[in-house]
Amino acid sequence: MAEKLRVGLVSGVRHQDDYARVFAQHPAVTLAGMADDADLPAEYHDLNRAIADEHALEYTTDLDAFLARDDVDAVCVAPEYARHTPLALRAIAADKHVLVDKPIGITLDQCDALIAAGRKTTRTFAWIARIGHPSLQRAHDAVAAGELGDIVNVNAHFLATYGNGEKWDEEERAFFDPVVNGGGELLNFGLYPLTAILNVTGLAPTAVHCVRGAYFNRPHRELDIEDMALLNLEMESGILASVCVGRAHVPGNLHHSDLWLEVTGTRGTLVADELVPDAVLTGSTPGYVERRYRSPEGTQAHFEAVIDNFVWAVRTGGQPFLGADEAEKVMHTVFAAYESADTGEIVSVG
Amino acid sequence: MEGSPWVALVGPFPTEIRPTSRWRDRYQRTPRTITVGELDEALTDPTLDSVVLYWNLPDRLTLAQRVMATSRPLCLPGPLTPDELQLLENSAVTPFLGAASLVLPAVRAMRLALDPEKTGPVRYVAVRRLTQPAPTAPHFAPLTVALVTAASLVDDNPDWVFARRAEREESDTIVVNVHFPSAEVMATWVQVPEGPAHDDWLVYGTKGMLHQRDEVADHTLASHLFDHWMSVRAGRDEPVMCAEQALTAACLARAVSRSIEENRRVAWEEVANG
Repeated sequence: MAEKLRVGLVSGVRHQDDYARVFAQHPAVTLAGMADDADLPAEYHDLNRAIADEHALEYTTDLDAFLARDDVDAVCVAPEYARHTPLALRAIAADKHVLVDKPIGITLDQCDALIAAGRKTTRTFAWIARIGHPSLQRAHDAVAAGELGDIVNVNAHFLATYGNGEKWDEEERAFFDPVVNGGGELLNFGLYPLTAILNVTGLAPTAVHCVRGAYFNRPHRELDIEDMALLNLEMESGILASVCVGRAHVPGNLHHSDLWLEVTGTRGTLVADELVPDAVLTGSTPGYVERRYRSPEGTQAHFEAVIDNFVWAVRTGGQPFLGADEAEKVMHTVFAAYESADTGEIVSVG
Repeated sequence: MEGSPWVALVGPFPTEIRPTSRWRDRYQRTPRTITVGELDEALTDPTLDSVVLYWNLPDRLTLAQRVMATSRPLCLPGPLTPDELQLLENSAVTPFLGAASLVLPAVRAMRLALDPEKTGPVRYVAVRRLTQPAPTAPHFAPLTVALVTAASLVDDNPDWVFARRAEREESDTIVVNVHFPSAEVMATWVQVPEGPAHDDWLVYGTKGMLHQRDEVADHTLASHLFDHWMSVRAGRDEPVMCAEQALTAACLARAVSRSIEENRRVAWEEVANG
């Protein structure tokens, strides 16, 4: 491998612009180019070219040739959601290290196919979620150190505040269209709180009850997809957890628009909030009152930490934060939640 | 003050409520905590103004009947049992019904802040209560009062209730979903020996949201309830809970219990019709 990790950008239809900036600033990375397939809508190519231009990269529409290049070590895959799995599978087949945007697939079959390929490859396979924020990492450290005692309950909340409300622009259809995105906000955002719970507590769900609906936004009503879902989870240790996920409409209000996690243990309660650079641990045991875990950075740190972790995993052969095993636990929960919402029943995960 | 009206607070309570000059001066009534054994003698005192029967009293129905037989105003905080509901329906005297969460300053402030123009109709309410273990609380009272408060923020009646419970050596957790045609409520009640006790409220409307967190202990909550009752008795405030909400609270308690027992969603009709 070259002195620096040579990272190729595969498609930029959704979140690649954010990730490309983080890769570009990483001291151990050099960007190797940008690629996508040729037979795509013109606006997709425009999006790709804009990212390539920002970083002075060559943009090619011969993706197979790009993936065959020896001077591309790793790729970041971030097209519209329906192509996450097929493009990531092609990159794995080309023997590249792969970081794929969330969600890793829009159906359970897609996810399972990519999870299987991620387990089989000798290269690094990782995916992106919001677990890198310092407050969440501090929460992880506090729980791992046993400072909460035995965990008895977890609550995670990700209700973005920037929904459309009653605004409906036909040109935005592709942004929400389930044909392109696979579903609503449970698929789009559900993995954020689920991954945070898994990362902080080490616990995965064994059963889920879910209710979902369109409560805040006209686009979701028009397209018959959920803008909010509530998950009532039974976890591996037998404790209960609850999750609220979705996209509300609160113009101009940033509070609680990002990931928020509360973990209650037998010795205290810990709150980690991406909008607050601390994890706050309170309890009545002497020494555990109003203890704050200082965190240095702001809300964008979650992507930087996950991408830095991917680079570290590629260079050392170590296990990334989020690999195939974590994908299986999280995405199987998401699709079990959909089944529960549709049937009204408690659904086992896995 | 000898001869002045007083209010009997019949416990046991999480902590003793001490009479204060603040209450006497403001409401012209003095609260006094008494035991169940002292109730009969108190009811013969002409200066007894009214009676509060706390929610964890054993056989509260019999005590309520004794108080109502003297035609004194009665406060029954917390969710009602089916028998208590029947007493309410058959009695000429309507007892005051208090859901403690409704009288917390933060919750009252939140209710006042809910504005159709600014927040829009409520679509989601999340409430988390963390308390020390309350083994004597019948009908999941601390949870039910939170649920009925949340339900009072929504415009329609529930469709169904789903609840799960995890009882462990050192903790007891109940998580409840209440599904309305237009909104969702998710409530969590965690009982764990270590505090601090708190209520956390999160309310989303179609245009705005509110967040309130009360770091309250149970005795503080009870104190707010009594304070409100005093205010009502002095004619300075209106009761915050009506008979319809008391019925809703009782139905919610039944639905939570049945859902935990049968591990399924319980339709509102199943509990609303007895």
